[in-house]
Amino acid sequence: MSAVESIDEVVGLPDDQAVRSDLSQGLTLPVELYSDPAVYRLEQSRIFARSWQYACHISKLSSVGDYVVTAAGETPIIVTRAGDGALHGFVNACRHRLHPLATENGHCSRLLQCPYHGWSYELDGQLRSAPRSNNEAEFDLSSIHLAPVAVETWDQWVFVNPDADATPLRDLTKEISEYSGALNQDLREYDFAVRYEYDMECNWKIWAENAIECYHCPTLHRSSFGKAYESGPDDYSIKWWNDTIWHSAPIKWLPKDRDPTSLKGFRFAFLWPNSFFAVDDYVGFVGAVVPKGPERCHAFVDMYTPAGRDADIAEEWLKLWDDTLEEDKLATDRQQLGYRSGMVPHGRLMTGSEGALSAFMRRTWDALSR
Amino acid sequence: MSRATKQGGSQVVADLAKCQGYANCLMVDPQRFDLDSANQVAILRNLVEPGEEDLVQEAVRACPTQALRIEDR
Repeated sequence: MSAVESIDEVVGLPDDQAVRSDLSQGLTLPVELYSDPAVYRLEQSRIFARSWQYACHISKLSSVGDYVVTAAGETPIIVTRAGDGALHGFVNACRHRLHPLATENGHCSRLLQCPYHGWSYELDGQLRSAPRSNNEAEFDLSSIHLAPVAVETWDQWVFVNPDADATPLRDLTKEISEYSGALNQDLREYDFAVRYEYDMECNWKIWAENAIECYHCPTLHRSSFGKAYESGPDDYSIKWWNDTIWHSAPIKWLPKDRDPTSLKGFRFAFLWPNSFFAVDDYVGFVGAVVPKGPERCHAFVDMYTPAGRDADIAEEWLKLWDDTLEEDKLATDRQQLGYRSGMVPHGRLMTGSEGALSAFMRRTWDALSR
Repeated sequence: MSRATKQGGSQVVADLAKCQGYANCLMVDPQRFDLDSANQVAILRNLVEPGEEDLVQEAVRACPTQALRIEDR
């Protein structure tokens, strides 16, 4: 339960009209939204308990009986491939004493058995067996079912939403799918290589906002991403819709004086609030930034490299991406100090290059204020 | 009450008076054990073939109510 039920109750915030007016004039959200514990709690219920978040690659759920353990915000989730061939998602908490059904990915033949007291569920979440229940008066197995969550695939990626009645992901991604389909088609030719993980000392929105603009790329990433990809305003393209953001940029440099002409460049898709996938000619990735507290977040990024080609460049490119993400971590950790001080009420965006940021902030404010 | 088939060799049998529906046997050897509509063990195949002994023994040991045993047929 949140300490506050609505954003109006958070002490010290400008009112709804003032925030919307500021956003329309290119100002950021009020800085209090980036460190206040009450806002963090409200975000868990208003945003992360109601939005689509990346879970895993579909290959993790290819066979009947496969299950994946994931989370959406603070909701622990388990996704199964059931006998009917469909994916099912549940809160990963037994209906007995709320112990997780599993703590890591795995495979079972027919039943998911809670390791605590042995309550066993069908892969569609129906309770099948509870030890000693035959001796329990008025205990009806058929009335007990794991709490469902929404599951949907976006090409090869599995997404979950704790809200079982959520708007379908395919509706939210209708506009971007014209672009993301080709990205994911190319990424199918890549193999998983490594998971990069970063623990930030900043609010999750600071990291997400950094990920959805590239105004910072020519300076912060001049020796990493900015060295390899065009990031000037004439070349780096950003489009956005209500829940999605699309980036694309041409490649300008390859190691060992190789010619980058004819390569496809960088393409990136972001799904509000925190998930993303991308591909360039040598590395692809998918991941999310996960809030861990008002001033802490964790990003995981699963890196992919082309199957059977260009291993030498791919290795260099993996390093380039790790450098880029380390630079992002350093910058966002440092930003948090400014936000925490409370001495600057908000930032002023460069709207021509950071329009997607305004859209992200409006979407976030909409979720918090309605 | 027992389920067994007397044909020689070894077989696994269940005492349904003891079965409490833990489903541990099913988790160990789902090809052999299931649950019936009364939430009790259903043995899909009694006969223990050469090479299957270890798995069946593991399933028998996993039963917390000692409802399963291996016996000569």
